[in-house]
Amino acid sequence: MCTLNLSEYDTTTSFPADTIEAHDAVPFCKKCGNQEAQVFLKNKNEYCKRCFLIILRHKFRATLSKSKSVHTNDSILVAHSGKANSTLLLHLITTDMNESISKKLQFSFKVLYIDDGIVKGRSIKERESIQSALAKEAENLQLTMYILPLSNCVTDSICEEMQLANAPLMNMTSENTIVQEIFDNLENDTAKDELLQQLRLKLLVSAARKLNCNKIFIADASVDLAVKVLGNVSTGRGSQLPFNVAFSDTRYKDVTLLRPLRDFTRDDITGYLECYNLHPIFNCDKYNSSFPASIRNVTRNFVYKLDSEFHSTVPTIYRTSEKLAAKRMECENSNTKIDDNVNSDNNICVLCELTSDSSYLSKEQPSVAQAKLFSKLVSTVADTSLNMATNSLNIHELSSNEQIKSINASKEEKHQCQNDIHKSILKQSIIEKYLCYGCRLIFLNSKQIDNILPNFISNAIKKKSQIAHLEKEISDFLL
Amino acid sequence: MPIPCSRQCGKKAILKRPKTGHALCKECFFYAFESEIHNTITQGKLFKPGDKVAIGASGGKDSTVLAYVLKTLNERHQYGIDLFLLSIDEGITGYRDDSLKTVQQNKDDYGLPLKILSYKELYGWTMDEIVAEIGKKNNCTFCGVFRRQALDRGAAFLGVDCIATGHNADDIAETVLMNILRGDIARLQRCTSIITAGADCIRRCKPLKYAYEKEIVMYAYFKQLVYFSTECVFAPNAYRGHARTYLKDLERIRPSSILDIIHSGETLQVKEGIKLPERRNCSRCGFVSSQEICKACIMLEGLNRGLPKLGIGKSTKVKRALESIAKDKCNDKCNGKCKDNEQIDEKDLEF
Repeated sequence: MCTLNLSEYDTTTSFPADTIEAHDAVPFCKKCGNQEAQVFLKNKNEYCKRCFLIILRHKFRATLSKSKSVHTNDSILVAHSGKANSTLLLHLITTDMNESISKKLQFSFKVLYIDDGIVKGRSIKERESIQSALAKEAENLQLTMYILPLSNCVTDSICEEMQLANAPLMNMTSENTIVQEIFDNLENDTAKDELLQQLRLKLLVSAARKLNCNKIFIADASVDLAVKVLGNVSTGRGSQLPFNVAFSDTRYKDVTLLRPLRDFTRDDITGYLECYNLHPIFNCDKYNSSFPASIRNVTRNFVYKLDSEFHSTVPTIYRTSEKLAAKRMECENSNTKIDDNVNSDNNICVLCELTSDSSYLSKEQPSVAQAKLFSKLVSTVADTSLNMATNSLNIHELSSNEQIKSINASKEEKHQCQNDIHKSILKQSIIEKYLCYGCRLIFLNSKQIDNILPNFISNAIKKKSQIAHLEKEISDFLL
Repeated sequence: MPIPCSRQCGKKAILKRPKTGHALCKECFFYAFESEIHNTITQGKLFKPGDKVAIGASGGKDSTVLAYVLKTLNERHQYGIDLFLLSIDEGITGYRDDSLKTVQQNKDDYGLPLKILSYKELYGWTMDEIVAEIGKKNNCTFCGVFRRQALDRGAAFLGVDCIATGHNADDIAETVLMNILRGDIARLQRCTSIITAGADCIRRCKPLKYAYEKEIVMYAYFKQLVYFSTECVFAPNAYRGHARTYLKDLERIRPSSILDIIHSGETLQVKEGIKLPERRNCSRCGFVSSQEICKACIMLEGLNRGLPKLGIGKSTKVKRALESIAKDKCNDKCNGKCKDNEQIDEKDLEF
């Protein structure tokens, strides 16, 4: 932990003995050497306030300029969560804007807060007070801040009108109930938390499009990235890591996600907030209380604990992730027939919009996906013919036979109401086909999967399965 | 109300599978567990008919179940492989001597031949002696490095085609996490592969890769297999302990997370253009190594020279120590006339 050399901050509990000793001696700033050190970092560097802030500002600018991904005239949407990270980011950008022209960052920006209070169990009153706090913050920093309720993700036309922070709370009772229902039907905290993350991202991107922003700043600091790395791996999203934690995430063609705080440590953030006496709207404890039994929360506790015991673990984790990529399989013969573009589009997960990783694995090699299918098969089907099937190692066929059956069943349904394909109920296997491994886990075991899918997902699935259907019909004539 | 077996065999279920959550009766559980391993073996093409396969046997639950299942499946499905047990005696009083008795019993129960190799034979040191030198901290590093090579040496000595180890899904998931925490991308890339092999090293495979630790215990329990279940008497690896606790927490929240982690590992690879340590052979002992001289040789050298900490911790220290060793050797051999050799040595020994 880091602290300012001020008596008002309690230094007795969590600080190692050597920093307390250092207080007696009052060392000098490591950088300028003629000021008394006021900020003590965990890596034993000690700075005066002024130098510390210069270093942080430089870190921020260096991250941006090194990547060369922000240009003049870019319009940037800053995602604000109300927590320490994004509070710092906002402050950093606004103070930068007040710099002299030569040093100024050359881009315009807007701020967006996504109000996910309904799924986190916040009362209307709480949400209103959060909103007024946001409005105040926007006024202090003189910036344009928008608020977008999470319920917007179930309406077909996402955010027709962007709402400013100082406007009254929008009343969306019917949408609220839908969202509430979706989350109530999910199996556990992990599923809820994961879906919330995905929906937030969706909203963020569509808001950016609406506001004509071509880039989004996300205030993930190094420790957040470490949590993301482990959380992603633990939820079967290993192959998506390169997108989810990279400095620049280019999964959407028109909007780029950037993480300019990726080199900031926990020390840096607390130090910065203390220097400027900033108070984030949410303190950490309050935020942690939502979905306590989710994998992300467990991972966060794990990483924070490691971070306090082994200082180099967090940088190691997120640097490791920089060196990783999704496994590429050589294109199999069967795929070459189909146009590459269509094919790759089909492999995109409808929820997270990343390439579905089932395509990375060859069918001959044993894999987790197949082991899972086999486990399910072998502990539910009483069929003795299974013995033969296992001998000829055709579980894949066997399971796909089942899938085909269900697909056929749904096709029959489609034929029954031929004109009305949109109303046909989506079968679980079809839904799963268009989701990636990680997103499939969200909806696995949830009650009434076909009912609870947010509109945009079920629409996308219907569209995709229809196209797949068409493709099948004309497949004989495709060269 | 009794829960019926989910395979609809008509019997009452007596257990809930930790892996899938299905309720099964005893016979159906055996069937499911064995078929899964059989499927892994056939699909992964782990063995070829006529292979001589050594089972790395520690006497613990994983290797006991592995030995039993491999023997059963070999007979049932005619893999045509020649199985036997290979044990390493680290020389840890109060732990390995007891567990080796279990292996002895496995040998008698399953009628498989057994070969025991000891650290004393291979390296001239027992773990007890090593711990007396370096204390209880870091001793797992020695044991781990030595055991890996000991299995290779033993297998080469016996002329086997393949070593089957009892790594289960939990172990592999834990290793994936550990390799991320330690930033070991090379190992991260290969730790999930079911077969590891190189041009001139013995094939290793993990038939229990997709088997949950809990199910292995269940299997041993219902089959009443005897296994040895005491923790090693020396302090367990603290850092790994954190990863293990984390994994257990994850499994409690979502039982599939163990497989999900392995899936992540399977779908990841090192980015193009990132330099990986190349695999070569130790210039002293000839076994696989990532360095000019393998870790086992360095550690052994340290022990024999009274520098037991060599090989643990800072690599700069290792380098310095090795330089002085090389110098000593030079002086011994040619009375300091080989300046050129010295420089080459320095370069080669960069860690």
